[in-house]
Amino acid sequence: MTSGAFAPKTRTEDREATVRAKLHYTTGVGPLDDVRDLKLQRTGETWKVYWPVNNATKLPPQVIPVNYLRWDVISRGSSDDWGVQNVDSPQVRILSMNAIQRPDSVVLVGEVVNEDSVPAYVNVGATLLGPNDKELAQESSFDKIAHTLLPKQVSPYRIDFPDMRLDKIKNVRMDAKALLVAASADPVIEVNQQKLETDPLGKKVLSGQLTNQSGQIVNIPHVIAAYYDSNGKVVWVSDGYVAQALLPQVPVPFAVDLPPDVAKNVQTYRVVVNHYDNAS
Amino acid sequence: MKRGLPVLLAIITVALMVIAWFQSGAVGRREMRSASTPDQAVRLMLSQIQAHNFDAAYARLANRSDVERTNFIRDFNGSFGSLLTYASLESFDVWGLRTEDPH
Repeated sequence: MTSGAFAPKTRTEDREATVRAKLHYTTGVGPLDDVRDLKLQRTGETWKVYWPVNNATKLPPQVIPVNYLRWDVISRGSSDDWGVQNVDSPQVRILSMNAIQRPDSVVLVGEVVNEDSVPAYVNVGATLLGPNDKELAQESSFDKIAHTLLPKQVSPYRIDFPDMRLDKIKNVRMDAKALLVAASADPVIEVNQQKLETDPLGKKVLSGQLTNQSGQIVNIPHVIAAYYDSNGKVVWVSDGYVAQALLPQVPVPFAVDLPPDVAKNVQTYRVVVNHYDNAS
Repeated sequence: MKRGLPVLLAIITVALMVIAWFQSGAVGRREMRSASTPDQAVRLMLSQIQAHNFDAAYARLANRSDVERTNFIRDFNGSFGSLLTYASLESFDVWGLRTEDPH
């Protein structure tokens, strides 16, 4: 727990105040920060917090039909002969790869596409090779990718190599692994009001709203944003988890940050929303 | 010497206890509990949230009649299986923006 560098002095006649609180949460997917501006009122000698009233939209009871595509998979079973071929793995291809030097790491960003007509669970890995094809480091995209890709769907990816310099690297070996999985195009999550802006803490962020168009609750939404320069090249990928669940038809704000030196070169961006459900 | 040594040891013990009390931040905690400044009020409320003492934190609100207790707790604990339901408040930073006399 720490206090800010500066706090305005409270005069004895002041009866209202505004305080900024930055809350640091720990989660299984990394740290989560929440910034709130809180109003306070003085009652006698004591200050009390004026909590914002949550006027969440209440949806009336209704039926929402689900007409989106869905794929199920029947795999080879234990009763099949040992030589029976299983269903082929889906074909995926890495569309682009851009290596970027950051102050303390090398970052590979790009996009991967599912070229097949069946859904794929995708993971992208990379091996950095030095002189004489010596392996320097090996990493994967971990959660900085939308793993489940429907047919023809494109996902950005990002692979971080901490404590690495570009001048040490002679070659990069990319590896996109794909598994056939059951998947559905539902829930569809709409992204709107996207804009690049500076948040109250002075950070460059891409902010917007997520709206769950389906009738089921999305427990843990995960936003992945790809940023492109004027040539259409991917110059950065950032991601962030949204702390709130997405209730049907209720907009929820999101914001993912990007480095200020990268923000200067960004011409366009694209947001992909991944999600994790408690039931799965 | 017979009486001097026990008295000296007692004095040293009390002095060490007082030093430990100051070093543990007890003075700061006492000041925070008074909530006599906006920063202290928010830090007190958040430290009560951190300790899962939601009733005490809810009691620190100026507009309790407008805010439902369950909604207030949900703002920190999450709901509907969100990421916040699996998170814990580790720390917080507080800094004042402005104070004013509305009259």
